[in-house]
Amino acid sequence: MEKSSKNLHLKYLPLLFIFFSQLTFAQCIATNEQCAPVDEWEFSLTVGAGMLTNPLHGGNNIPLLLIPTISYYGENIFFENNALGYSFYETNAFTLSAISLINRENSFFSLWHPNNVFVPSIANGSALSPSGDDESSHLDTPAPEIDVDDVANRKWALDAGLQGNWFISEQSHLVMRILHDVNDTYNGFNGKIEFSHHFTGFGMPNTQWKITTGINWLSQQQVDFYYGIGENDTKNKSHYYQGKSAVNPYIKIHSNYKLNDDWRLTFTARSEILGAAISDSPLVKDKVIKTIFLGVVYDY
Amino acid sequence: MTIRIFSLLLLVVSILVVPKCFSSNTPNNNVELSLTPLACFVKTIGDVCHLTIKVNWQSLTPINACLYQDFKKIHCWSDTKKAAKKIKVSLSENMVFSLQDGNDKIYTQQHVAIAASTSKKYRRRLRADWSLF
Repeated sequence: MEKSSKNLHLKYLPLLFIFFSQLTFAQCIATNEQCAPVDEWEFSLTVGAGMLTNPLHGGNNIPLLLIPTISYYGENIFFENNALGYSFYETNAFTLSAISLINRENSFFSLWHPNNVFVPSIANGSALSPSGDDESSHLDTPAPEIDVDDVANRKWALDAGLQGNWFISEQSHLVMRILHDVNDTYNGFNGKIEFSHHFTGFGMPNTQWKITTGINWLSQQQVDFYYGIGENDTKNKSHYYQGKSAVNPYIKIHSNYKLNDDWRLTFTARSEILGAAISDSPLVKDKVIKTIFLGVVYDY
Repeated sequence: MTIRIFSLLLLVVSILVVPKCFSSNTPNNNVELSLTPLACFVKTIGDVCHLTIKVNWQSLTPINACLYQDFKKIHCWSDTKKAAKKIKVSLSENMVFSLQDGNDKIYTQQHVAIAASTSKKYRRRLRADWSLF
């Protein structure tokens, strides 16, 4: 029964590809900002002010001051920021790629995670205090909670898997991704489905807006590895916590105001609601991860 | 017995129908089509090329024929043995021009290629933002 069901899915896979391949629209051209030149490296550097909140007890909010972006698109291979991929099926409307990227969860446990390359040297200075980490709130809270500094170090994970990009129209884009860690860290999956829509509007010339919404899904293994509490972390059994799979919905708004050919003003605000399986962990104090950033970008 | 009759019927149908299926898509050698130019140069791949194409075709017998750009009908002739015409077309990718009758039978076809004068190509960004965003 299971086998026939699997065969049924495989049977419809080529049809799915044909469906996507028929949804063609304008090809990539130089003036389309959703397109990248093939065989060229692109760099940009963003300077500004912003913050990514850390949902963990005792976790430092991550300041966003300097954000480098780097990308390279070959005929099939691509490298963009912390992701490396190979597109093995590509039409104007749909791309299927093998992709590998650094898992973000350890960012909240370790400030010097590879994801946090944009944290400048002042980031570990005394100016940064753990957000919401005042002693009185600890004393007033009867629920078991544990500080990130009081648990064992989590390892960073490298994930790999498949990503499908469906370019629904020139403005709309759907990303579907399923990954598994490849460095024997949490031994589980994670995935996401993300829809984004570009538009110009609000009566502001030279301004592009992008609204993104999606869900991050984390398998039980991943939630348990990062947010579970066991005897490796503490001897206090009241803190023990077994993670379950979680779904985190998120929404993001991003805008770019073009100042000239090299400079643009950028703004990002993002909010991600943690699934109950994560927010119930004694490690977690905030149910929402918020990001806000305003800066200027220089495109090299 | 029923199976044997069915198999025989299937064989007869195959013999009668299959060659016809193939012939409907196979260019007919009795019709010759010539297009000039056979390539169009654009600045970068993806740019639209506008060109006037010279169409010449001839057939041994008078035919009804239509010229198609991919699946789009662009000009028709009726009961004609020989024709020459200049037609304005636009294309942004390699294209097949075919001479067909009214019943999807392809008499003959020609390819017109797009070539870029600069080698720069573009592809869609796959939007791998930093994991934190």
